[in-house]
Amino acid sequence: MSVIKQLGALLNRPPKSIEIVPGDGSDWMAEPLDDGELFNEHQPFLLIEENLGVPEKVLYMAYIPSVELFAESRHCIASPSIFPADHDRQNLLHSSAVIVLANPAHQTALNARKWLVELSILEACKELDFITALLAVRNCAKQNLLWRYRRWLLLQVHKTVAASNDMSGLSEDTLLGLAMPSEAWRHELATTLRACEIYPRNYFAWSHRYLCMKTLCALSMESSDHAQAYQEVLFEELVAMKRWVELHVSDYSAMQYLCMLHSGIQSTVKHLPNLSQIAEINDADLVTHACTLIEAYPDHEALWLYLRGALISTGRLHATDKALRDATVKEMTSFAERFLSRGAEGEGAFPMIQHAVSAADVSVVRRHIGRVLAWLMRQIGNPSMDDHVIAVTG
Amino acid sequence: MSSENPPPLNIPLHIRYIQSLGENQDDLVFHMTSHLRLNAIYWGLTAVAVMGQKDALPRDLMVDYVMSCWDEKAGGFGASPGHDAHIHATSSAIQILTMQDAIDRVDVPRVVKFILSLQQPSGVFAGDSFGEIDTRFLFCAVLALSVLGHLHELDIEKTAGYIRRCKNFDGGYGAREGAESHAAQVFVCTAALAILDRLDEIDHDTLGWWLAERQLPIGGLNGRPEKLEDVCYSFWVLSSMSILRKVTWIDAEKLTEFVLSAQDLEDGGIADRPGNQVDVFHTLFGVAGLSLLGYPGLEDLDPVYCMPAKFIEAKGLRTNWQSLPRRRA
Repeated sequence: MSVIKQLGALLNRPPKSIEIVPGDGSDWMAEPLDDGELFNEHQPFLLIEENLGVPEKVLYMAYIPSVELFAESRHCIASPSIFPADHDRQNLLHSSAVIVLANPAHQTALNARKWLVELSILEACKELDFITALLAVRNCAKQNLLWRYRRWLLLQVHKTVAASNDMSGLSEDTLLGLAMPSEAWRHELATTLRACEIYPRNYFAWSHRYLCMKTLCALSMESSDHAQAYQEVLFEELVAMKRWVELHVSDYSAMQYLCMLHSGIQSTVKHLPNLSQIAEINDADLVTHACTLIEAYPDHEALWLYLRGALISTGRLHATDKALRDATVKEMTSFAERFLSRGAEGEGAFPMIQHAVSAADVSVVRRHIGRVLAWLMRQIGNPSMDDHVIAVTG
Repeated sequence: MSSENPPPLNIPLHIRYIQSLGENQDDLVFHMTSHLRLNAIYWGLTAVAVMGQKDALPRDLMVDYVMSCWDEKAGGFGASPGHDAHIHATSSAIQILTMQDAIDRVDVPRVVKFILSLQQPSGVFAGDSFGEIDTRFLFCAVLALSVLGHLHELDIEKTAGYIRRCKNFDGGYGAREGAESHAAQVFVCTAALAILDRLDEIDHDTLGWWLAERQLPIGGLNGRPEKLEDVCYSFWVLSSMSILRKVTWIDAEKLTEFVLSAQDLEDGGIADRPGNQVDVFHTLFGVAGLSLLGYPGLEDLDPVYCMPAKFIEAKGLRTNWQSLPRRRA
């Protein structure tokens, strides 16, 4: 019981960061701390400048007792008209924190914490900081429940119109109506990026990022003093995302987000035209970006799909402009086929593949090219009927 | 992929594996999966049913356990006693009770009210009052209402309209508007549209191609580009293909070999890929995929409901899906 209270209290501070470390914490019990103190007052846990270390074995041993304590104290949720007694409140706070760290999919524990925020027993901004720390822990970073909770907390903290309507009834999971300063948006985007670094292809982190982006686009189209500041964040985002894609050439989640971001920004620029920034958008041509990356890494499926997405999001394959569409298909077909052109004598079999940065396997590249050529044919209504099982045979 | 024949499906061994689940109730893993308990029971029951031995699991104990998950205040089922009512647990409860011929134990009007109360203005469904939204929950709602015979109470246009907004430029669907296309989410959207008789919302060819491109040279299927193959996608992808009547777009032989090679031939069960730890989730979806591929000795599975076809046919709910013909042993 005391371990739950101890860990729960540490988690509810909340700390700046949380790390689950292997073992039982005995390693750091014997060592003197940096400031000369020999005694670790938080053992078996370690807290240094609000960075919390939690030994894995201790966490998982505390799990079942936490669940039991939670079950005993959650009766107070069943009677919402009665304000919970102090010991029940503390037990709920401590046990739910431990449960959520070990098992972030435990809906019922999160429901309880949300209820504590609604009753102002838990401060929304502190809880937001707790969730920020959790989303940097690998087993928590991909959990949609935490991202959903985060969005609700953001609305509570910034006291938006949407939040004031959500008194315990259901209100749709959205960030629209959230008017935060641009610095807060930058922090939000940084939080999602950290979650994607810890857990690659983090589905719900990218989904959260999309919701941030859509809200920023909406805010930058409003007639307000801050519209320009929000557009700045979006332009920074475009640059940052292109860079992320260059460093993560298998990350299709980022690439499909980048295509949607590009479309989103183009629609805001129409409302707030600014010549230099329009030039920047054109410069950020995603098709060229994709082709350049493919030349370096032709064996990466994600990049060929990025090319497809860029062709669509930049409008080059729209049926309304047949001339542009047909010219684009022709140009992209030539681009793809160049990889399979044989070199001059003495130059090697497939020079474009051999000179790529990645050690590209010809059969892998062939498969990607086969798919993109078939896709291009489908765009002009010429589906190849030969074999639909090209996915395997290439 | 090895050219040797993979081992055949060891049905008796997998049945024994499923029967053994829940024996170690002091296990940490057992506790840490309590928020999925009803779902796990549905996975286990459907798996043994598809393997032709529905009675391998004790019926009355199961039905009583399901009823102990009833949340009287909310009017729905939680994942296990002490867990809040949730639409996912509720749809699993309804599937289990239907297969066990015990749906008469359910307060149907209250459950229908609970389900309908979770629909959002946009048409998507939340899981519970916490407010997480996901096209999975939309599917759970549509499936449950359909099986209970109350689909007519749903606003079909509003529900199908939300799925329409989730269509991505690659023809696929995600968990919500703007979310990346993902094979499991493609399944829930496709199956929901099949039940709503709105398959016209889908760009069949574009989606069919996206699904076909999930197959890797090793034969297994992945859920998104550049992700690893995983046995569960042999259901999510295959069922979607089956609903779109494009099962032949997948190399069936290679996929079958992949699933069979992921069996644990000592203790039973199927894993996400060969050599990994088994679990009941992958055991069900491996067996379900094999059924759709016509593997001999298995019962027909309805890919829309992921339940044995005979239960769905008995309710007159069968739609126009297509699987590979059942091969003789």
